[in-house]
Amino acid sequence: MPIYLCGAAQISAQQPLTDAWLTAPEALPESTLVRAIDPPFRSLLPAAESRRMGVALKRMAVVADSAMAEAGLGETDAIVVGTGMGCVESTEHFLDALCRQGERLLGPTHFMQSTHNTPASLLARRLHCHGYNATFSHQQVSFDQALYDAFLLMQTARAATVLCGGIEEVTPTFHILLRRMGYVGHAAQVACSEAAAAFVLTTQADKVMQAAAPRAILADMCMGHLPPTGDTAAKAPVVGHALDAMLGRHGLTAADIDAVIVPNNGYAAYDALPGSLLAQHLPHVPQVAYKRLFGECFCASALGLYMAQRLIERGHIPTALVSGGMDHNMDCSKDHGQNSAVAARRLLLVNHSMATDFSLILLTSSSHAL
Amino acid sequence: MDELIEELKASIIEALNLEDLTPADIDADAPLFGEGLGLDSIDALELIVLMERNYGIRLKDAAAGRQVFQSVRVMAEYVMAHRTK
Repeated sequence: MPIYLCGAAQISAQQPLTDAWLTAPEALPESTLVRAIDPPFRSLLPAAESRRMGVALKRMAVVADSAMAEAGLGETDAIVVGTGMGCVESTEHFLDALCRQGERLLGPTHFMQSTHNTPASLLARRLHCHGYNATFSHQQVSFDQALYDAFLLMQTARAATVLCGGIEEVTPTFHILLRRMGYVGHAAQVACSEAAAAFVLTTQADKVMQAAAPRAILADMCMGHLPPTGDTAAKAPVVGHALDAMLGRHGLTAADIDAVIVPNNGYAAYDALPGSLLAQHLPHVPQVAYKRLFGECFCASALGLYMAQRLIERGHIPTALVSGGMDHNMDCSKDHGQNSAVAARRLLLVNHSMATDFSLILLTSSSHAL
Repeated sequence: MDELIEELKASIIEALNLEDLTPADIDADAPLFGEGLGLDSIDALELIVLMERNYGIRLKDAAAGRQVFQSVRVMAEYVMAHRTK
């Protein structure tokens, strides 16, 4: 039973709610923190409804609305959201008031929004969805876990349509903490940024396959845990074993993958795992490093999925986005009106969280379904 | 009294994030809940916190709270009569 990605939207360091990043990407400013570019919320959300929302909630509401509108299915059976830290700005407001006012006289609004599951519950309330509702928070695989939950819900026929979101807010204060943790701020590493993305996944083929353009299908997904110690590159065989198993389940080989959407962010210690994995298992497959456009944050992988979905719908990857492995296995064409391009029929997304957890996501085009 | 009413209007706008309003937009005699500003129960909690933080007034009785929050003018009269700071 194919799982179609039939609606998607993003707010990020690129222009929001558009695919301008494909043709006219914003160059990330020379800064270690690049905040997301917000759309005009006042024209997108009723003032009475949004006045109590923090920025993260506004972003989540707007991308969900946009994704739902694009999907055109009307309603969803379930809502799952991934977020590393939830609504950080509201948390800071609450903690600040806690300190300033001697742990007394705390207003309810920032407290309510300081919990991680506020975005998912907000979506449920706005969409009148009384079904399954869950939030996953696990650093850099938070969104991947949410997507995996959606994948399992649909595979087991517990939901026909799922709204899956990823939200990460990075305030200047939180950015300082992330730097102290060694998560961002390394030489050559992409800037730290923010992410809000929403996807509508459905198994209702009859409703989504009326579109002329090919649809992206979430063909398979797996997640795993890696040993907490040891050389990062040495962990690659564990991920490679999972990759071989995934490809094997569908009768695929490395040659069938058009490109890999990689989580590389320029920090060598971080990039070592995907680097070793691809060198050993997919050595000649083109790579697309989405964080060059969107920056790094705990839910950056949501933007990787967004990019992959859009590329599959277009059917090709502009060569400007391809960063490596282009010496073999390419289906290049000069007939797309994009100079030359790499085909986007089957894309693999790789992600990991500090080499302790990983995810592999296989997307295919409905025109090349497995 | 007029000065306190203006102060309360500004405090309410800030506490409840009524960013589209200015003090001049708020009728001091209009109901705060239901009609008028259309505030809800979470706003009521914010106003209870505001009253204690700014004026040292603790509102423990829900019925009294309903009475106090009828309008900005009623709030101001209550503050004048009960403030401790």
